[in-house]
Amino acid sequence: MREFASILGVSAAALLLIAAAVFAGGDRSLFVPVPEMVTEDFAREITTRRFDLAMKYLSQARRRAESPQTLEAMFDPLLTAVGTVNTVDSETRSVNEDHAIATATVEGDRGARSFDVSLVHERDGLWRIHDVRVVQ
Amino acid sequence: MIDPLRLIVRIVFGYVVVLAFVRICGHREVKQADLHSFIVALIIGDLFDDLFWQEVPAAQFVVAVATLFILQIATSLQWLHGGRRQWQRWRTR
Repeated sequence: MREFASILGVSAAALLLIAAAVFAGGDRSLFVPVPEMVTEDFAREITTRRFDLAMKYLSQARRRAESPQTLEAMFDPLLTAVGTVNTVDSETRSVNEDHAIATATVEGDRGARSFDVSLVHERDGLWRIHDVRVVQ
Repeated sequence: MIDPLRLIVRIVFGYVVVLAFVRICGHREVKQADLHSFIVALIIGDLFDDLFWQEVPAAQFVVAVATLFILQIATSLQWLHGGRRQWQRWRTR
């Protein structure tokens, strides 16, 4: 029983440290995924057509307005244009206190396409995608 | 591009957390490990890179590792009380 209590104690201490850094210290890139990684993970879910899993990267407001079906409709032209996807890359273009803009680039057999996303830093301390703009 | 300094901080954080859990479990050497420890080590080894490359928040890493160690302790205790520890039988032969 002592081991269980010790593990719970260490976990609580580590979570408190993270909470202090994120909520009190305003950490945006040490203990939470940076906008670049959120964008890349979102793009990977999109390119593998796991639109239901891609929903978790959307902000609360955006999630209410989107569904896996609307995401599929939005990205289907892009996925058709690039063909078989070979690589997915992302780059942060700008970051300020609570907003960030990033670009994801999807390279496939038939060429490369990009889409821009704007991210917001939500109350739970994580960056999430608030807006998506597919570049034609 | 990932900031090297932040990468080092995450590596140290992950190392310290997992080292604390390993010490709590009472494993001091590899020879004290059993099958469960090996399986847990494999799974945690896969979790590390998610923390280092920021694919998951650090809080999720802590919760995942803590859950694995709690399960590992519970399973080891169950095996111990069930008399299924092979190395103990071998030692008493």
